[in-house]
Amino acid sequence: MFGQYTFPLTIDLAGVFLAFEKAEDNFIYRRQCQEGSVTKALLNCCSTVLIHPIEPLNTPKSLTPNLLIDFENSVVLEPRAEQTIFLKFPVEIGVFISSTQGQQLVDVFSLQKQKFTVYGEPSDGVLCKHWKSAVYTDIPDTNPCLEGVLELNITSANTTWLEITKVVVSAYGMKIFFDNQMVALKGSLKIKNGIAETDFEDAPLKTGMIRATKNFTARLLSTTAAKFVMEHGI
Amino acid sequence: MILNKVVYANVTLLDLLIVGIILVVALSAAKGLSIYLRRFLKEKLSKEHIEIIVRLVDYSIVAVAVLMVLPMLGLNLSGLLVAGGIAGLAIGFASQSIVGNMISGLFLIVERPIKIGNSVDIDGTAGIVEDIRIMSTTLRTFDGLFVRIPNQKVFTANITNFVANIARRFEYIIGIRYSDDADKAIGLIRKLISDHPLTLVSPEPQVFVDSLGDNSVNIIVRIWAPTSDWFSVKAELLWKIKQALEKEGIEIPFPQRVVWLANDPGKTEIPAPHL
Repeated sequence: MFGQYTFPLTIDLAGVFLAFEKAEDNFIYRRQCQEGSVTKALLNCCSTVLIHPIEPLNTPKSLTPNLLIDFENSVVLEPRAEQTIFLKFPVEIGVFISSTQGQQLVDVFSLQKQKFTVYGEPSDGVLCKHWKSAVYTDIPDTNPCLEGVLELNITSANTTWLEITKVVVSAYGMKIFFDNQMVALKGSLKIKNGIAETDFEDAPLKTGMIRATKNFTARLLSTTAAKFVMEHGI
Repeated sequence: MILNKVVYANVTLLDLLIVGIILVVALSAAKGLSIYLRRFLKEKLSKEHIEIIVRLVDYSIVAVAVLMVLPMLGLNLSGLLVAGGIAGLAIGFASQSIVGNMISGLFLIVERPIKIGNSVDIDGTAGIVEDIRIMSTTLRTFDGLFVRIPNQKVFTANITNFVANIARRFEYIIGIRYSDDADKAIGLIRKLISDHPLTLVSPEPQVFVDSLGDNSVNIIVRIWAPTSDWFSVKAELLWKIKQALEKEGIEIPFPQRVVWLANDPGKTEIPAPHL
């Protein structure tokens, strides 16, 4: 499903019907899936359609830029160790239109169940999108319309053993890449003095993957930092 | 020359003109700087902080301009201080509430128990904070009324801030018949909560039999939701729970009483009407 298309366009795949239909000089955008349906008129538009995986923090409402991935089984890490694990994360599908004037997000939808959670306490914690994933030591098989793969490089500078049960990442730092088989992210979790910090690498998991269009763009502000400091425990 | 004409004391028309120009320039500068600051800080600070900074700059420019023009108007500031001492006492007594409101306003701005845009309850008045000024705080009540509360009252009142925390809990008490399966009802309610995207995974929802009432087995349901959406979730889920329970044959009973007739030798029970 992901890629670049030209008008007019009709896609009927994985339970999603999506079309850009010509209506005189304009186009009508229609999308139908389990989540619901959307119809939009695109006036004096456009040349290209981009269907890309985007940061999974837009549906059902954009309430937070943070994603918490709960591990189905916790990971125990020895002191001063470095280990790479693989997790799955939910994929949201972004439909962009593109012209010489730039790109515009027309629609976002997800085929996954959505949940939210609080990381920390309600009084001083952070609202996060919630996702539960098994922990893999190799790249797991995924349906790219539903799930992506997060390669997480864990580095511990701690002198004690650690048990990691979750990871929180910021959408502002996500650099999503995709190809026909997979949607992927490369991230890191650095633990020092008991405090963990997550970040992303601007590199594909495999060669030949295409960089997805970003919806969350970091501003020059600490509140929209690309890194996430896990102050409320791992 | 007409501009050198003395108006009073040693103050000439030229002095008044200069005073006028200084005040106009100061007010224009304050206005211009306010607009610039609002634009410049729009993406960088919250609306509340921007308003505080803009007002501080605004009042400072006007205060400096007034201090500059007072000597031109023949008002000696050192003399004012002496006179101010005596007048200050009189004014102080007369303006206790004004000063109290101003100081309370400053403390409210520093302590920040409420922010502009917060949903709050101040001493029984609930609404959205529209503005926190130096003398008063204004609320827009949920039914659209404008309420001005003096800052002294705000500062000393009990304040409930409904949106200070990121998540909020709400609660239902669902009564089911004694003949219904409470475990099945709890399972149905838990599934509905789990399926709703805006009910939080953590803090965990709680669903359990709370009491055996006169007419029903009472199940308590406690759910956390993001503060921004808790009311819509609360309104939506209750009806869904009622529909789901009824679909599975679990009914929410009406109050009922079993009556035994004393003069009936067989003590025939009169069945409750099936409602």
